[in-house]
Amino acid sequence: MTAPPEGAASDSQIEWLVTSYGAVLYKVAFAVTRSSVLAEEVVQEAVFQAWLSMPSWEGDVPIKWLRRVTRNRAISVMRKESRSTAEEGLELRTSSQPDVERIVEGREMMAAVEQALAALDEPSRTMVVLRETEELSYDELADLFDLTPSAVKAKLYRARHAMRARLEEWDL
Amino acid sequence: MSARALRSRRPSDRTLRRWLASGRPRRIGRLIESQPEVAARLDALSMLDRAHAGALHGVVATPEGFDERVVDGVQRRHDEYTAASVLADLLGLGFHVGGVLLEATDDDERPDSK
Repeated sequence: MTAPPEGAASDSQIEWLVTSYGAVLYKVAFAVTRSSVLAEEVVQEAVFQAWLSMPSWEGDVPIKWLRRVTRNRAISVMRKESRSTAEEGLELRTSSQPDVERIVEGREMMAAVEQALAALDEPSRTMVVLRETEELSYDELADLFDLTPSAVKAKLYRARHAMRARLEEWDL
Repeated sequence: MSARALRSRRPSDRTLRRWLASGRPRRIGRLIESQPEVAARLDALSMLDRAHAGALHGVVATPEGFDERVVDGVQRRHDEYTAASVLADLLGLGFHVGGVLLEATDDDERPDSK
């Protein structure tokens, strides 16, 4: 854990929080919401909550707490979103086929990986993202998801296998 | 040790792949905890290839201008929070002053205050 700047003004504390932790919190929020717009809103809220509780940190940044707050906030946003999309008769981005337009744009691999990721359930999606891109340990993931490390491994292995199978199905 | 016992201790790759795809046989899930070697093989069998892992990094990377937008958004929340706190303080002060004035008025109306 890293210590925040001592005695800094609130503006620089906010900038420091965003620069230091924004990217990882965005990954958590994006994995849950599958929307960069919603993920940014969630990160804003999480960083604001973090800034509010900074005086009680006693020097260190509680990154575990930050990840948890972000994930919980993202889940809460998604509950509201799914209610409103259900009311509007819209569908969330869970298509089983790659988005044709993005393939034409020449970003087929990323588009396909995004869609394969989107097809996973939420805990699995976030686990894959945090393990593959942030190299979180099984213990850290277990703490975030309130599971045993073995349960995390089981979910993670099966989720990655499902992604692989889907990508192979699409010849990617 | 019998051949069957040996098989149950060391499942084949085929069995592991079947478990990855279907969750069956269930005993494989239990072996993850008791046999690190099984966990390591499942890890290897389910690993994303380099291209897919690289693409995943791109998918979850922060969009351009992310830091600036988030800082602005947090500042906005911060300003709203500060304004709400000031308003709450003013309301609190108003109630306090009102209370003091009422108390003073009550005192004025007492017979012994005249």
